[in-house]
Amino acid sequence: MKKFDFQLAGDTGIHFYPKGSNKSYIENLLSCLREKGSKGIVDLVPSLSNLLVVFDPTKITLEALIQYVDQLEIDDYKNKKKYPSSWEIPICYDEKYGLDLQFISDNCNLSIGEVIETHQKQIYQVSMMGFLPGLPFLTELDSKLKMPRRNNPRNLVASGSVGIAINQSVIYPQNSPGGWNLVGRTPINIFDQRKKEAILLSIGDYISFKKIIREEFEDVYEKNKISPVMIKKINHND
Amino acid sequence: MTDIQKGPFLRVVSGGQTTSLQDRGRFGFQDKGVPPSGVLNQNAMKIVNKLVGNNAEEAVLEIFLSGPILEVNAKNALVSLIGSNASSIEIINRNVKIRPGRSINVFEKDILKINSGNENLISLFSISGGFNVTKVLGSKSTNPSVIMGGFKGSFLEDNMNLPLNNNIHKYHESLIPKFKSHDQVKIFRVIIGPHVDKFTNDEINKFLSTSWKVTKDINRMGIKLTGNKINSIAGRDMLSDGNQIGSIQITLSGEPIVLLPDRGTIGGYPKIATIISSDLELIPSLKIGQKIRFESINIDEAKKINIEFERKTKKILSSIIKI
Repeated sequence: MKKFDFQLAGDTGIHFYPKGSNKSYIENLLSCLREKGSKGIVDLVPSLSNLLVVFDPTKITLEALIQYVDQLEIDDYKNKKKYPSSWEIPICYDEKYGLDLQFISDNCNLSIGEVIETHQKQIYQVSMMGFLPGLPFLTELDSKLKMPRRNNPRNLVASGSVGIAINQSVIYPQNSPGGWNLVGRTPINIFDQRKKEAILLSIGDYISFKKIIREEFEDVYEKNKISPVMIKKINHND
Repeated sequence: MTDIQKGPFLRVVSGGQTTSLQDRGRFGFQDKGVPPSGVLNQNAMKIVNKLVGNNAEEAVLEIFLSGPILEVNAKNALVSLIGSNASSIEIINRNVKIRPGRSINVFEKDILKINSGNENLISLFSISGGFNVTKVLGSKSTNPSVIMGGFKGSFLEDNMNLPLNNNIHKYHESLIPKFKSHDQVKIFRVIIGPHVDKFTNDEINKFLSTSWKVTKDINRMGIKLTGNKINSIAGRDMLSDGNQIGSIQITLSGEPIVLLPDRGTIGGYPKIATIISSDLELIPSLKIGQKIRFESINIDEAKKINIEFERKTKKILSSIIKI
């Protein structure tokens, strides 16, 4: 009996699905394959539903890949290794950046202050990345803030904007069209393609938001100078 | 662009429709939401690079539909093109025209017009030494939809300068004696899935028996097809999952979209089937408005087809002669 189900995505891809309600399977398998690797694995694409493994059939056959995944001891893998990291990300909830604070307040029957507090006090985890390079989907948003995406997506959402919809929050890694309800904006770049480590976050990382005022935001943003205290990374093994 | 160019470069006189710098692609970052990009026809990339003496995986210009006009600002370089039989490189100032599958020396101030001919979807252009751009996440490939890689993340635009690596040797021209572009492909081989459970057998059969038309709704993210409506039992709340290259997603309106290199890494539409890797290499020969069909095969058949395709590529590579 295999620990997973699978479906083929052509001759160079295979989606591994957890069996039953083993929700941490995808994250464990991702961490394990990332750590151990395997000759012939080209890319790993995790989602809330399954893990797509893209492989090079000239280096590993489908049968060998399935067998390799089947023999991995992946239980609790994510907790054994250096993943995840924790980050404290500065955010400015001024209405200049939190363009939908009033709308969210009306929709959720909370004051603007309560909306901000509810969003800020939560510790989030990066459950998925996509839509744009480096864009983290953060769970779990407090259910008091639960609301759908905007009916009319904006043509331009500024890089660093923080939005909410349904049970998630996101940070926009670059200027982009977007339909999330905006609560604020961070002055830091979570995606900078000039850097070798272009993308700050990884799936499984923990995020907390540190509230900053508009003057601090503008100071950091305009000088493009991020003091070390502006972003903190804590490795759990440290 | 007003940058002062220090080394050799190509000046873009006219950018063409959508021309971009591409190599194999950007792998290993899809878990962070980075689309792989890269060329569809990896084997053609190897061939067009060998014709100018480059390493097989050097970045090339991918010409999507109509081609650019380029001015040479280098003492000497070799250039080559792989495209339809009717494609060509024209050296306008010298009234010289070369066919695809051979290389030619070009010199300072030559004006090169790249003709893609026959409206083939994609042609590839190489230059000896390659383009001098910094790799982003391990690749020179451009993804304009997320402003990444290539020449400042952009398609070629008029008056851009494309920096070249140094190029001052005298090169031997080469050619493939019997170059013939791929025949117009009408049947693409697929493996059914990944979302087999989201379609009834009747709908899968309908997908396989329909003659699909290539619409003009086409770019490096995907190709939209029209000709029938495929119903899926997946709801709007289907969980998004990884988008494999060549997977064919069925949108809410029931029409298929073939996913290409600049696709988003994840998507929420059900995917009925996936084109096998060696048939992806034939997508560049498509034309807007043509009809295609899909044929279902299994993984063992795909392996045999891939081996045969690799064998043909090797044969072409070894047929290249110096002239």
